[in-house]
Amino acid sequence: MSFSPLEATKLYLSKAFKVLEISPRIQKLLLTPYREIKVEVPIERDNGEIEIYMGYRVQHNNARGPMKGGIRYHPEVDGEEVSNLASLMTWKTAVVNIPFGGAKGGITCAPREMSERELEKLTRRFTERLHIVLGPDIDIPAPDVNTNAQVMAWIMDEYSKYCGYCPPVVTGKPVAVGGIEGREEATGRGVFLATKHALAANQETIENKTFLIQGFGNVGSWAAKFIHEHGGKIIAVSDAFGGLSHPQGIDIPKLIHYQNNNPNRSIVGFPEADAMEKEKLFQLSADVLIPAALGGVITKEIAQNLNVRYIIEGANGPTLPDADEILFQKEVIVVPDIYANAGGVTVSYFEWVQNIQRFAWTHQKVVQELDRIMEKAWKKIREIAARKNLDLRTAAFVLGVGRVGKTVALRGIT
Amino acid sequence: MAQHPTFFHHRQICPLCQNLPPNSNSLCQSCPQENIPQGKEICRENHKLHHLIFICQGEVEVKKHFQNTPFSITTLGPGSILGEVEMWTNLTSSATVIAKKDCKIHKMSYHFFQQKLQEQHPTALNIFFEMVHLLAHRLKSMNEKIISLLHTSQKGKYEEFAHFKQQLLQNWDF
Repeated sequence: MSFSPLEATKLYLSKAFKVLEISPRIQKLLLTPYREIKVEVPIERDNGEIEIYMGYRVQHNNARGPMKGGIRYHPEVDGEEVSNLASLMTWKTAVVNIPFGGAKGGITCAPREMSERELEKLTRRFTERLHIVLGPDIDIPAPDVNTNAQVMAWIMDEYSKYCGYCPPVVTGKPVAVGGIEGREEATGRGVFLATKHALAANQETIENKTFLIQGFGNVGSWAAKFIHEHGGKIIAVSDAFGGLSHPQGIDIPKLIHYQNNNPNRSIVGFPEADAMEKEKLFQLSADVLIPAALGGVITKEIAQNLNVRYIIEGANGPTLPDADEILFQKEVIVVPDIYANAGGVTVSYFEWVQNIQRFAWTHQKVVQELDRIMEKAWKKIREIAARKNLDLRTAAFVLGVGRVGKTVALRGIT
Repeated sequence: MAQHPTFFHHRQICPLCQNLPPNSNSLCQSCPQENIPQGKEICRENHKLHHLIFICQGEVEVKKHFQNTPFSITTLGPGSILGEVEMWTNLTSSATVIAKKDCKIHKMSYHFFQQKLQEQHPTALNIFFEMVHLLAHRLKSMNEKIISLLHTSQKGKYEEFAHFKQQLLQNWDF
């Protein structure tokens, strides 16, 4: 049985609704998006042709604060995907207890086939179309798939044309335009912290544990760096092009240096590890697996053969629901994405606070506060899981939905 | 030769006609009687109706569509009149009527009835007053039904939301 990301989310939510005893009518109230926007984004390409792209922004829920979520540029972006991800942001911000709601946006385009000038035009036109529903107290975009600090700087600049100078309208900006120290590494650091807390719950530490890291992009490489710094042995990594292994652990700083200097930004060809097929990563034995690339990679078949004790979900939705059940039976501890990769949005929250305060935070303060928030959320998830005898994913959804529900209940609906 | 039943033989059954005087037949007799076989449609929802229809014999089923699904509202027998609402509103028929058994009906055009009303034909006047009486009762009954539904629905919603709130605040420490 295969699950779309939407079906998987529905399944996890339905479990949480059952635990929380939420009636169908209240479920509908919590699930229905606040606002869904679809806009045409026409630009003149470098060759003089007029191209019309479709842009989306779904603002799911603002009960707990302004809505927050990334903007992605990808050929497969569509309204349903954006809507599902917007809903996930609502629960995710609630799990880490930051005062945001959830949103998500995107443009259906192929950014790799576009020049920087075209991307800037596209971003500015999209912002122009959306600016009336954005704002530091309304909806705050952030980077996502194929968008980065530069794209956020363009959004800030374009929005400021209409509404005056306004850095807190968007997060994930370059430090020079109001960004925060440590934003780039934030999701990876969050994954590292989630790993640290999961191990600590069983009186274990990262030191000398063995790790498999699937995906070596922004999230995977930063998580690997922090784990390596704390004495963890990363015995295998993979990216879209291939895999590497080393039984004594890969030298991560050297690998990152190699990757940064490789023209195609791949890890393949790194001389100080053994090359392997990327699919082989799931066949190796280790203490911890960190899937940090695409969703849906841990299927039922892979789950049956996995030989790890912990899975820390750096990517969104890497484990399919039927695989999740098998892992639960095998007593593999799965730390869910809704918590494990929430470091990015948490540091985005710090950036927003910094911009509103007009007072720059130090890198040390960012790291400390992120650790504090991740630890607090982890303890709460564990407490719910233990009290109700739930798996960690269901407990995390119970926490997220419960917090949103509580705010909705207190604010009222009339 | 057996006499065919007329509408007014059954007037005591229909709330519209039960108070009509015994000599009411004369108006109806001026309209032709039709035989409607079982299963045949007499009028269709959302289509224009030009006649009052008096059921003399047989049974008809009244159906109304909701979200493309037909729902049976009622079954009417001899002595009933159809089309009285449409005559006064000038709107299309609010329901579909199908002969449930073989029927005999009288059709009286709206124009003919209204003409007789202007002439102050006693039977037409009686039918008119009975219609007003019936429609007033229907309106009163519908008002009561709406109030009852609103009350039930609001009560349900408030109780549900209160339970949701109480449940989250009392049972969970988020």
